[in-house]
Amino acid sequence: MWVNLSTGRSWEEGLDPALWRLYLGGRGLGSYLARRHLRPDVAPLGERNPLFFLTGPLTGTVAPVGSKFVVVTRSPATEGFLDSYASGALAVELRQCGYDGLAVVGRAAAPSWLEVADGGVKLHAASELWGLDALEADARVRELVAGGLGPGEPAGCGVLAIGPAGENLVSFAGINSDQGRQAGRGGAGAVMGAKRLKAIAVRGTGPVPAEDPRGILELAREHNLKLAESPLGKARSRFGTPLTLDITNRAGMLPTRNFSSGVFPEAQGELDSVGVERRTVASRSCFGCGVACSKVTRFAGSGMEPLLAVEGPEYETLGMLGSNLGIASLPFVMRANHLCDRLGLDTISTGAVVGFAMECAERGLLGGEWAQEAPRFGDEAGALRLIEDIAFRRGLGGLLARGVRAAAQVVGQGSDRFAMHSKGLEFPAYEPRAAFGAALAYAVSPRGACHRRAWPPAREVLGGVPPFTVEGKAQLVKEMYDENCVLHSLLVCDFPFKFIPLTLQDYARYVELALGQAVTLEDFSRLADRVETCIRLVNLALGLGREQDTLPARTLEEPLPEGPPAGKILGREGLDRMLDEYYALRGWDREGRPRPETLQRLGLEDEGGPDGGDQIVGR
Amino acid sequence: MATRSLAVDGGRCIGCRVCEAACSVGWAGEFNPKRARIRVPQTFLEPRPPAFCRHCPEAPCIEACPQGLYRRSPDSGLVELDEEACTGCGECLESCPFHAIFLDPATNRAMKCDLCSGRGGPWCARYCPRGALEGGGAGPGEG
Repeated sequence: MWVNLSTGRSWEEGLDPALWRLYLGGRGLGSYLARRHLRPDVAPLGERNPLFFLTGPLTGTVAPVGSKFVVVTRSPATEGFLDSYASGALAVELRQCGYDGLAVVGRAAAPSWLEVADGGVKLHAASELWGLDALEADARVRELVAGGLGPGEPAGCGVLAIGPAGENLVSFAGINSDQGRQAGRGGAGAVMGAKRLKAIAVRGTGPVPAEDPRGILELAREHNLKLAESPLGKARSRFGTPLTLDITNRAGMLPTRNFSSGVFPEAQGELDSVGVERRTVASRSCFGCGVACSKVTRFAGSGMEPLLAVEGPEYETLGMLGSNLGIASLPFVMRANHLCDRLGLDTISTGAVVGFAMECAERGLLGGEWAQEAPRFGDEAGALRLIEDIAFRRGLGGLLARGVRAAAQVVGQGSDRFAMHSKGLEFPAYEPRAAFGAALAYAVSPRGACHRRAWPPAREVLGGVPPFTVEGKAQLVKEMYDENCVLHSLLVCDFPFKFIPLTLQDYARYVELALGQAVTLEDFSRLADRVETCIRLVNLALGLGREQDTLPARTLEEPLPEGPPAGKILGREGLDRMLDEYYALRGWDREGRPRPETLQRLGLEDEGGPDGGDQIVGR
Repeated sequence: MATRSLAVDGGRCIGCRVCEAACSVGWAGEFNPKRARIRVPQTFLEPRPPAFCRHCPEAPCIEACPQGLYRRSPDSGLVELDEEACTGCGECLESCPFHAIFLDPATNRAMKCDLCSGRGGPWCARYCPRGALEGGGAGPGEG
């Protein structure tokens, strides 16, 4: 379903049924649509930048776990391809409306919200919603949706909302989903804000398409029984992602004080699995999931601090808004998490820019009022104030709202050395100097520094692969990228896959039960190759090439001071070697441009890209 | 009077909504939570356990229906609804203290849990990933 906010028109576009076999859905479908619609002359905050909300073939079934949607657009942060994922009822409801996805183009003349139902879409004025925080906006939209749906009503309406950060076009504004979740990375919230689109509500009453629903139920039951016996699965169910902090802290991989160290001893018992479990009051699941990795934490403050409850904090938030700021207080991280949720800010990028500001303050690099506004490491109140200033673009917050790359350009004085980003997307909470494969994974990630395309620590820290070498890392990273590409094109949460664990053969079976057509591991493998190269073409057309597949000087040149990685240096040459190997494995030339024979092999050569020609296709 | 509605262990429930999916497949052969007779309430923090018919000893729905389509079965003790005859007036929906009667969007008729009578026992209980649901007889395909 397409909606043009400028004209108010909406229309349905059928997708070629053959596409599913080539792209599956999710990330894959996103790469196909991006090739057609993300053009170099389309500004990320301009009205022609499309916002795609996509599902996959297993979404809304109980295959583990079809709870997610992906937002595909041109990123305001990187100016390149963005795929940003979240769980939410929107995914299920879109399929119940009979749609595989929603495409929003144009810009509304006045703040608006979109209502999607079985019969089509309706655009509403959002004058009373604009300015509300993202959680309030969600609650209000549920009241407005036909029939009125508040807490306590049966689940069955997916709501996306932006907060003040999105309205104010902060480059790392996210889109909230059902209040507690976010399509956080890359600034999708700013794209939505630029369109003056405050919220989207989707409610469908039709069936989720599936050939053999009972078969899917039975297979998922088998896998849930396996989950109940799995040590990895039980650990994920009990602790959720905070358990990761125990691992990274021990590996010297936990970003501390703007990535100046990878060890934060104070986090132990406070920001780790033990600390979070102490404040956990319940577990909750996404649609269809037996893992229930999500934790609800509560904190009863004393004196001036009110009772605080939050879904989370997740590992990334504990790292980026905790140890990365030199703060070891879980109540602070909960409060900062809740604040980011309300304002509609990505917690990862927020932690990175605040950490950057703190380091600038410590080094005396800021002048005038900024020097007074900027908190130092460990300053909780100052951090909370700055986060709010970012959302409203006040003072120093106004500079930081442009992202850490832009902030470092303005601050100058060599601060770009510790502006922790790749392509303009801020680092997530894995220190790449503690596992060199992770450095490659960050550098080649199409949307910028990202831990969701490949997680090399699974092998380099937990799997016995030597972490501080570059040998074999390109192969490792490619394998992980390809595996995740399949999962994210199916659009399933990768936790059941990783922690039950399951296999791609299991998922081939689910696809067969859902679509009534067989798919092989060979199909999956070719799909991953195709999608990753397709996205590469998109980025090349948008101006991102080998030069952007890079990391800050701190990562390449400065050794960590403590922990297992102490003293190890990756070096520009180390990264270059891994890049050379990775490009070769992908069938790209030394500049990272897909070779003609690669395009031919993957069936990508004649699809209408926005910009054909020699500058994109390699030699 | 012997009634045996479903029972849910709220401490185990994670709000995953698989019960809804299973119910709709059992009843209608499709994944459609809106056609399920067990429904999880919308929450954003702690999940709340699902709503389903309790086959109350003094069931308000029996009084509420202007056509008298609800009755207690003398054999099973369960509250039964003649769904075919329902005109979708909606009076019963408000009467249920457990908010456990729903309007089927495909038929516009009232619907509620019947413990999967004739379908081998509660589908929701069989497929709940946490074993949080109990009730009725054996699962589908087992009896």
